[in-house]
Amino acid sequence: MLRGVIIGQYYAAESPIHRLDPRTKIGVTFVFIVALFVAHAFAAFAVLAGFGWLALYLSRVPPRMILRGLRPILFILAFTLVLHVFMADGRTWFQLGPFTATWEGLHQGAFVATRLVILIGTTSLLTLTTSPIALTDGLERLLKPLSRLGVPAHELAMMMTIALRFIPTLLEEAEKVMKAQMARGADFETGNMLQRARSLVPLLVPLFVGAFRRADELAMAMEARCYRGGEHRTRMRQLRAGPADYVTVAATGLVAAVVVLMRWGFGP
Amino acid sequence: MPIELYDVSYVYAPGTPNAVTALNAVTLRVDDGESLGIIGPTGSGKSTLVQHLNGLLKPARGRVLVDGEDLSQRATNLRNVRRKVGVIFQYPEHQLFEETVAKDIAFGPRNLGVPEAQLQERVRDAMAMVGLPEQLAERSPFELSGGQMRRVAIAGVLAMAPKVLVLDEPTAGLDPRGRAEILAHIRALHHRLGLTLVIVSHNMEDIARMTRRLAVMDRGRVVMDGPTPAVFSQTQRLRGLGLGTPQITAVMEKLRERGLAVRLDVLTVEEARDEIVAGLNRGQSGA
Ligand SMILES: Nc1ncnc2c1ncn2[C@@H]1O[C@H](COP(=O)(O)OP(=O)(O)O)[C@@H](O)[C@H]1O
Ligand SMILES: [Mg+2]
Repeated sequence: MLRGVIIGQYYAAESPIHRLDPRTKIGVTFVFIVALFVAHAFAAFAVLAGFGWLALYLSRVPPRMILRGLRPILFILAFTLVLHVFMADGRTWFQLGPFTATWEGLHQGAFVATRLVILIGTTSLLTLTTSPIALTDGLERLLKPLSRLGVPAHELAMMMTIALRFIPTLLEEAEKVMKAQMARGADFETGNMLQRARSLVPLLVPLFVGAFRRADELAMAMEARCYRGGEHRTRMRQLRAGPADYVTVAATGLVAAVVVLMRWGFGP
Repeated sequence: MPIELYDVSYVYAPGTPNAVTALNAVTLRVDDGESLGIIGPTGSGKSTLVQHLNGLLKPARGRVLVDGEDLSQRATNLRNVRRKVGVIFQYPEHQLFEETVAKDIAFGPRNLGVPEAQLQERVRDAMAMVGLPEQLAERSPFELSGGQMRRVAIAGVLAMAPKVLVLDEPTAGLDPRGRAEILAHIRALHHRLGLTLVIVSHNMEDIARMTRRLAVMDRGRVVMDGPTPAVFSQTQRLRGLGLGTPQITAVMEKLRERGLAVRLDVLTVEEARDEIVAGLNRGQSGA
């Protein structure tokens, strides 16, 4: 019932995008997002969306996986759109009671909503094509220069890896405890807000106790195998950038440049 | 109050690439006052089956009837069913959450609407049933030993006064002493209060001691079902499924291989002694 929510993100497949170095993918996604916020015309969005679509096509991830990622934000999208349509000043589109919908509002709303869709779409492509482990590996490497400034890059990455590893376990455990309490007549589904919140106590306490127990065991197991921090650790999988990575970086740079030019380069 | 399963199938994650058929056309009937054991390799669907007995899982196909009521029907009051059929999961001590043992045990009956005035009595009775000393009532359940915690969890279900007690691997992870104690209490409940017992276990000795009927599961199906001694005497077939037999059965089998004509369907040392003596006598009179 809870299994496979959100975290079943990674879509395993053989594709050029999957094979890219995670650092490349993270960096490129970052640049892409910046470009997305630089863009201030639909034409620029079209360029970015086209680029994203090409990546999606190359990744062999079925487009419906992206749509699934968009489902949770449908409400936010609709809300944004409605808010803009009715709040912006401009030429009247139609009247609804005391509220005036404007054409400018529609334009603005559509603009923001499009940006949001492209944003979520491309970032989910990152998590869909990069396994969580590769993702944290890449993050760790990208954060490494900051460790001189005292940012605990390795520890942060390790924490993320462990958290990711235990999310499915926790969901499984939640399901088990829920069933055990239901067998004792607990009811998680009916009642008002307060009753429902209270009914969560028999679920949350065992979950926390379990999480602490597991953390203890894990710490013990790591120590038993002489784990100690990031200094001088080598990795089993070395990250290596290849030709495909350079091509990707170059292409993204090009697209970003186009978007920048579209905003500031032409015109007076 | 019989529990009947007709042609029950259950699939986890249906319609996805990870779909698992955990139960496949299972038909099984548990009658009043029975003691039924369920064994089977890991992943054979025992825990899934157990969760059908009180409506925690609904069959994808087939019907589950408790006391004649179909659990898939909307009109069926599942809370009422869960009062009658108490299910104790594997590692039940992981469900404890209250500040004190007494409060935790009272959780079930309180959910069922048992009046506050009666709760105390329910808690005290349930604690006595599993042999928990009364002084523990006001202690935190998290301070207790593993065996004690498990008994608190079992008491939490017993306090709901079920007619059927279903236990999924009740002794897993306990030391021999804790295991023997828990089993002795469960057996007493069965004999004294006439509770119907359904026990899932990997321990053949426990099954031999606790149950009179035994069902064997394999890959989502019930592949054997009969009186416990009769099922255990089919040693070859059990071994084929990767399951063991009680030690007594193994001894009798060895004797038979050496040429002593003894039956395999004995479960206790006494029975075995009598049977060996009888076998020796038969051998002499035949010679
Ligand atoms: N919550 C679940 N989600 C998906 N598959 C499950 C779940 N629980 C059990 N299974 C699968 O169903 C099958 C039967 O499991 P289970 O009933 O737990 O067997 P047993 O208790 O006999 O070990 C196994 O293949 C198991 O992997
Ligand atoms: Mg099981």
